[in-house]
Amino acid sequence: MVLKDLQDEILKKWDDVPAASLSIDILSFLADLPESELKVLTFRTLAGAAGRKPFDADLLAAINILSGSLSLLDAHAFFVDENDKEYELDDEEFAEARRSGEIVHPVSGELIPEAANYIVPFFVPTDRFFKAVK
Amino acid sequence: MIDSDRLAALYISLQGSPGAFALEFALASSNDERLKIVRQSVDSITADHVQTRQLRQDRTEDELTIDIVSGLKNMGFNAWHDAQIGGHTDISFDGKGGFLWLCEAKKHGSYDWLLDGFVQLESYCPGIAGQNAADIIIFHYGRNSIQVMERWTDHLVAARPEVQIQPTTTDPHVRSSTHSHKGSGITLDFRHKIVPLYWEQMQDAKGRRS
Repeated sequence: MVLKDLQDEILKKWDDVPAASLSIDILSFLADLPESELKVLTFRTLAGAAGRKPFDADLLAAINILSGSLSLLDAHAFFVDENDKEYELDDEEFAEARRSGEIVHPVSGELIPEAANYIVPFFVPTDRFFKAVK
Repeated sequence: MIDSDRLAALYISLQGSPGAFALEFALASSNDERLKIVRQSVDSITADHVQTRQLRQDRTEDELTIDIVSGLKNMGFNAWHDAQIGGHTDISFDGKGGFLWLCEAKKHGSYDWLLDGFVQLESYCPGIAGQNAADIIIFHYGRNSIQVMERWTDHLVAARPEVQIQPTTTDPHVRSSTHSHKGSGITLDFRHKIVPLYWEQMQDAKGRRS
């Protein structure tokens, strides 16, 4: 499957949905980036790719299209502590932090409330993406 | 001010918008999470429909169902009307991790009609991990939807005594049930949701309609 096939699949499954064209814009943007720049794709990066500055419902729908059943992006997250040191969270830690609103500092063991203030979600392209575009 | 890369900034930007459900789904890593988000999304969409029910009085069952599918697609979900999954499903929705959610949407006419929907749904449901949850949505144009829900679950249990109805949740328009998939033996997690669409044009003190 190549990029054009993915674009056709998106337009077929999400016809008449504004987010479809945004998701294609994001896909095209990512396809032109060197692999070294695809390691950490934040929501801000993806918003820029879609030409959208604030995070709005259409942008999130576009990201949902790419990360859902199409499986072109996988979600991950960093915990960034007060010293700006980054620790990557595994799926369970990230899910628990979102569920409970708290996070345990990976080094100190301190329980930190309002975890969302310290978490940076990001995406990484999947093997399916790389097979299609690289 | 929160750095816009932080999750908190996303929550603030998307609060109260359909984007909040898309965000949670994009970040979900388990099928339990995905199921919870689908159902919350459907609740949000049907709540809008109830609020605008005066504009939905003459809609067919298919039109009401497509309204829900459109709402889900607009959030970026891969939702379909009338897909072939074990049969013609009213709403099907898939996601990562082999996740599949099905829905039968019925305009209430009789309890046997709803029972037909239940039987269709359990036959369509694959009954494997991540594909063992489904919803029955009942569009109800009559009065007292809570009573209809109670009578429906009574009718279901009378016809199918092996179906276990769970205690009422905080929402009186929703019930849950469990029973075993005939083929796989897995426990099927069904949610029954009634959407109250009754609307009566208001009259003033002189009997004039507004």
